[in-house]
Amino acid sequence: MTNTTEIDPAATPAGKPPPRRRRRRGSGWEGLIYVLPAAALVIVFFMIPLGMTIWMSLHKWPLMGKPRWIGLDNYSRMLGDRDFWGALGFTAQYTLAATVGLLGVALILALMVERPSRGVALYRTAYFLPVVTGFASASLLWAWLSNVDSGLFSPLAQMLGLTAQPVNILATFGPAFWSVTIMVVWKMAGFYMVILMSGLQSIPTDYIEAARIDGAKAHQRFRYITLPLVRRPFALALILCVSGSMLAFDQFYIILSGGPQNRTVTAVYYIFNESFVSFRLGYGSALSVVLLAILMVLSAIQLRLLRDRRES
Amino acid sequence: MADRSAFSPENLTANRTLFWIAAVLAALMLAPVLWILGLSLKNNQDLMHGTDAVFRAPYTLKNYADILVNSQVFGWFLNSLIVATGQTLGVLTLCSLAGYAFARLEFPFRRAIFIIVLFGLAVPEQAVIIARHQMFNWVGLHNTHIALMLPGMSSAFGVFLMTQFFNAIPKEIDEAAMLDNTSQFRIFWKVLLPLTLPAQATLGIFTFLLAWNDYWWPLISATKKEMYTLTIGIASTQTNFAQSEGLGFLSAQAIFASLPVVIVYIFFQRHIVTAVSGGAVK
Repeated sequence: MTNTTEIDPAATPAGKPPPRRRRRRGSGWEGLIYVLPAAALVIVFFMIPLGMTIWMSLHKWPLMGKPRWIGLDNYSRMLGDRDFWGALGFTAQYTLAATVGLLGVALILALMVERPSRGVALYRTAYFLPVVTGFASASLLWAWLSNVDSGLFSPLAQMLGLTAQPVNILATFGPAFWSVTIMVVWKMAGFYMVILMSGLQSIPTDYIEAARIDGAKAHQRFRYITLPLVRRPFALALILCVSGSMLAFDQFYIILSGGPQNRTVTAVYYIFNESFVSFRLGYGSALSVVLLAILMVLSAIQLRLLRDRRES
Repeated sequence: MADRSAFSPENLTANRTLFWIAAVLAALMLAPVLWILGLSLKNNQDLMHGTDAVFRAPYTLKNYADILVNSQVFGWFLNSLIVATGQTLGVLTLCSLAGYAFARLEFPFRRAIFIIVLFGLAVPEQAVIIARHQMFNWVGLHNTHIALMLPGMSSAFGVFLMTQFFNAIPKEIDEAAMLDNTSQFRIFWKVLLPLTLPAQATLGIFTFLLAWNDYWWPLISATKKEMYTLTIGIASTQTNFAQSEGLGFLSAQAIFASLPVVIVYIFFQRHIVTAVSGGAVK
């Protein structure tokens, strides 16, 4: 039994692709012409704006009028900006809740629909459907469902006798926060289900059969075979989920408008407000730079954590 | 009983409890959508007294008819269609060309350019939105279809995906074509491109869905009502929720807005699932 933990994922029956032979044609500039349009767009819309954002963050930069160089002032101001740290804290709280909820539900869904059998295709379709509807549409839908009088949740709860009066779940922080988190789980679980499912499907059934014959219990098979083998797709899902949640905006903007009491303003939402409502573009840029740095550190940590455990 | 666990191959059919849990979950996932669908088929007046009217006849398609004559919503629909289609065609063209060259051709700065493009994957657009907004401001392009389309055409993911797909095609195929002195472009166009059709479908559908559902960039770039896409247009009417517009009409708009993506999803589900899972196993 013990050696089931040491199965090398690379040793799957499909095997590795043959080593790539470096045979590339041409020596001229033709290839450059082919890649230039695509590369130019990435440079114009990602690389140059990235440099510009850093440059702008060193200025007091109004929407109209001349920008003024102020060095690191925006960054030192940020240190004392309670609203920004509040927004970051809220974003972290949301990221934690959404990630745990999403990956947990997605894993359960993936385990249920992983192998082809009767009805599975239908379930997969149903679970994935909310994914394609888009965050804005899903948020709108949720806002309507949450409406006190004409929604679904409050009248339903009343009908079932859970509450005596109509409850406005979006009026207090706790219920509002959990409502949005549940919406996100509903909307995105199918997406992560597919990622985890593809990982589960790449596990040869022989392994699990062998373990079963050896007398491994279901939870043991899951712990010692399934989990180690889905580490890679799980890492991908985790990174996508954390960085996606750290960048959350649509749902809090559309459903809650940052309320109640401005307590659901996420980091991106705060940047949006500073830049496009208050038009402090320089300060907004500095906030963006810090957010980007945080994201990169987070991704690096996750990659490191998930890689080290595999190698040990 | 251990044999009948969720972790065994025959899970769903073998385990009745699990089968029903899966069914209930599916119903829960679909319930919100079905609820809105029901509302959209109701007369606005009938819904004034309570939404439980949704369970009773009569049903009507009037709300949908209203969308077609309401020029504003239909205009947003057209904007979304133009932007999403343009973006998709752009991404397919640019990424196929780039993917082919990265996979097959040798040229100056090949590695450097590829790394720069990959680096674009790591930069979320939210983090560079202020500078992007300024750039479009300088050239006066805000509130145009071009502005809505262009940033989405820069797809590092697409370039990466297409490079992978071209790499996966055996080199012997184009080497055979090389023998009769075919030009690079002809090899790309006549020999290899037809082989990448499944990849084109995957990338195309994925791009279309993302473009159709995009909320962030249109919200910032399109400030004139007539340049709204469906996503921000419909969200903007939420403020006069239920009062002036009517719940049934709003619901119909939401269904109408999601219709193209749901149709695309139902017909091309396989490709979408491939796109999502592709990165996980490779």
